[in-house]
Amino acid sequence: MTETLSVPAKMPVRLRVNGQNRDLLIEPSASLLQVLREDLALTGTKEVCLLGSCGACTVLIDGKPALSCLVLAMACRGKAITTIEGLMEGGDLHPLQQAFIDKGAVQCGYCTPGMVMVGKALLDEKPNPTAEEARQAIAGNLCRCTGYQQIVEAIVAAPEIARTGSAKRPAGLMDSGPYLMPETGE
Amino acid sequence: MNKLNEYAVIGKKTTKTDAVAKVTGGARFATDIYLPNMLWAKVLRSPVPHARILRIDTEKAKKLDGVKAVLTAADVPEARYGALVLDMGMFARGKVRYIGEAVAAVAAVNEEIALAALKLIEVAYEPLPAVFDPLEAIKPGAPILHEDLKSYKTLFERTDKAMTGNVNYQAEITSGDLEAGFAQSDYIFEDSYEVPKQHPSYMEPNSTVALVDSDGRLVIHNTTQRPHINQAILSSLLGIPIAKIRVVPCHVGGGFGGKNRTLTEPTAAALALKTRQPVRLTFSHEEEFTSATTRHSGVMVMKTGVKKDGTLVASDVKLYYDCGAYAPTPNAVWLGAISSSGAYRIPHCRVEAYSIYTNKMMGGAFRGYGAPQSNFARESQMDRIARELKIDPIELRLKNCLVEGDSLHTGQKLHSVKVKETLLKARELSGWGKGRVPANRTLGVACGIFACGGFATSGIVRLNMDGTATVATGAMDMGQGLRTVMGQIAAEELGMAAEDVTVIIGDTDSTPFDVGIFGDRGTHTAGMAVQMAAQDARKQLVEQAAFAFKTTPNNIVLGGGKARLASDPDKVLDYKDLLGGGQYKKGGPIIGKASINLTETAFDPAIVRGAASRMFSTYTFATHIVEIEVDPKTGVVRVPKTYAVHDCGTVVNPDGLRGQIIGGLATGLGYALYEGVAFENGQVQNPSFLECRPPTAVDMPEIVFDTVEEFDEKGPFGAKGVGNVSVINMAPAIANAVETATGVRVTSLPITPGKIVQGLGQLAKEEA
Ligand code: FES
Ligand code: FES
Repeated sequence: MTETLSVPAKMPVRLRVNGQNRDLLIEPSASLLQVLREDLALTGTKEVCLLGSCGACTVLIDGKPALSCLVLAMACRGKAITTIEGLMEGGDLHPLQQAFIDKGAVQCGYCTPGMVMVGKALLDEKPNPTAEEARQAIAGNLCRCTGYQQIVEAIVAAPEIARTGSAKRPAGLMDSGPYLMPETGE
Repeated sequence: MNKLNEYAVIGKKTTKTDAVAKVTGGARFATDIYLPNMLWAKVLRSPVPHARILRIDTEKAKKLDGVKAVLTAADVPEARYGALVLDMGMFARGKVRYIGEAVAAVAAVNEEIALAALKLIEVAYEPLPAVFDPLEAIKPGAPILHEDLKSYKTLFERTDKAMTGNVNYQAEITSGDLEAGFAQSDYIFEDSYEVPKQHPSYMEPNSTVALVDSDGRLVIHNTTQRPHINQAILSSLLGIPIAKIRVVPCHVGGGFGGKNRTLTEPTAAALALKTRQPVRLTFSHEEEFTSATTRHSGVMVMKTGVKKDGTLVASDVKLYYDCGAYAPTPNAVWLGAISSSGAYRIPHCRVEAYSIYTNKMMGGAFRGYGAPQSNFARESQMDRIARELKIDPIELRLKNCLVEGDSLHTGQKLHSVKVKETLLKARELSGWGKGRVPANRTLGVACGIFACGGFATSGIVRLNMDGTATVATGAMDMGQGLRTVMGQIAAEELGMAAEDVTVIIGDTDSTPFDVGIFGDRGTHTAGMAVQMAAQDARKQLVEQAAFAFKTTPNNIVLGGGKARLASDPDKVLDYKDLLGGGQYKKGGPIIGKASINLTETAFDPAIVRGAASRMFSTYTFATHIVEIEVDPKTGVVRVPKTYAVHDCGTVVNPDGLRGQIIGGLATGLGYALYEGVAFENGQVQNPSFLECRPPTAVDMPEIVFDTVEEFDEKGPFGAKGVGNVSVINMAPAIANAVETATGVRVTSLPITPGKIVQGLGQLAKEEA
């Protein structure tokens, strides 16, 4: 005889993620993190501790950084959610993304989405943060690789990149055009 | 010997190849894989530290709707694995030996059902006496963890103390005449030091997705530092030929040695083979802290004989490293033994190094690998010697430090030794002894040595028709930037731009063998193979160019993606024309290859017994000086500034090097002040980042960083590693500064406020 586990009924919800409305059927107890990753396939937001202690799951809710592992998806109805996947504009990197690349602020990259989101929230509030302000802003985000220095430098450098418009369209397949067979000679 | 100016790519700012993917959220990690039909695996773990398993009943769990498979030791081949000592199977068999050991695993259609099924598995245990302290574990009459230890297969030369009682791996180093050395000494210092387990705390948990593909091959998507060794271990555990297994690692969310393991792969693979569905096994945050591997905890006893003028004469060291219930990498204590004489010339040495079983979670590899422990002892004691002999700590170190041509206590003759230069430069940067530090701050120094490079690796460089190159290495990038550095090395050798080189890593189908990335062998050893493969390709390219120009190879100059005639530099051919324009007639497609093993010389058995490796390629050195503040009331230590000077050979990627060093210092800072897995009867007391916290951005000092000019003739373009030595000096440097500031000598890690306050109380009592 097989036993069956009882599962709570799913409920409909409309979420606004990265500027788009998404209609979903979710468990009422699902965290925003879970819904982003599993229902919306937005896996850029990372899951690490589920305790609110690492910051890897940070997204912006109405422009403010929030730990998506501690927020119920249901509670986000009517709010604007921004994830790391929503930062590029018209195919260009966000200046802060460019700054992370230029300053060598990325190693393994697992903390990076959370760090970038926290950094973006800071820049939206204070367009020219000092190194100390940047350091305080990321104090709740753990990174085991970098020792944080280059992340702080990236946040401080982002405004200059925004001013000079030097954020680039990332090179890669999308820019390389059609692949043609080279001449094979004689 | 500065050759940097000659290079086009080496030493130049080069963007990390995976940076765009990682800042946009596009980089795929093993935890990001969700496949159709994928099952979720969960592991039932032992709740007791030591017990006989009387019975396991999985029937109820198997009947739960949605459960597809339940496995225990009875369902898998009886095979064991390990780096030197083959002692661990996929599941506990007959006995459990630590809280958190895998007893059974379930695959179900979702995580909730898998977890519910675990609760339905009934296990009857008969508790056995347990032992948690390595020094207790080696006493006669201690509970024995592995009764059949002697029969286990080992991959090292066993000493008579190895594989007896609770000692698994053991090594001894003896050089000079210890007794004569102590007899010649004016003073003898004897101290004991203790260190806890430190979790690697990579952000990404261990995770594997295993599946059987349409050709019937086992495919593994995981997070690992050693795909080719994963493949070999899976083959031996599951009885499948290596070629029928493909390991395709994803981006690795930090490894630091902790992912030089095979933890989730076998279980996920066995479940996938059983169910013929993709299976994902991801460790929970708590499982990371109870069932992954940590830096070895241990006790170091150090007796050192010194002349009045501070000359080190004799050293007798005993290292007791606690490897927990299994010994996946007891080599840690071997590396600890190598670093235990510090970066010093000591003519008469003995080291006895033990890896000891206790009923605790496993000790494994973690950045610094064995050296943070022994260097904490060595460098703490060096300061005690300096204090008692009233010699400046840096002067004492300069007097004894190794120089070019010296031999280590293991008998290995050293080249590329610039520890003295790191000491001098750090002294100058920090203003040591110049009264420049603010009144509330105190300086502390430590230097260290770490073995760099070696073991087997290989590389393949293919030149493509469009003038680009594809490099394949079995070495992994765990975030440190190996892919970028391999690309730079190949680009330099081939005379191409870094962007024109694409580096493939890890995938065992498309990359050649590498033994795993550890021990500073990424840039150095994998880099050497890539350089040699690129040289091979370059030679063929020169021949093709000579054929095209109807000249001899020595009349060809390569560079900037073009081949030229030396005799007539206006005669130019782009690589793309050379490679794509029908030149394949001559010699066929260009494939450069190299297979190397940089550890070919064995240690002298008269000096070293029980060696876990052959001689390392080279050694790296560093000096770190910390500036600290101690609050005498609360005992809280802050480290506002740190000076770090490294001897790392040629700098290949400046941003990468800086990030590596600062990251290493952060891990060293955590080891010194905050981290330490706490146990109560074998149960981890602080299994999360909340309770066992790595340093945050606001804990980090301002870092003044420099390198000394050096060219290691055995490394690619003169480069050596940097990842490990950056970790090993922080704890002793901070302990040394704390004693200068407060008079309190803390001999165990972490250096908590409580220990300082207690020490101050003790000092006050002694004065009264
Ligand atoms: S996963 Fe949300 S804070 Fe760690
Ligand atoms: S880059 Fe690896 S954790 Fe931050």
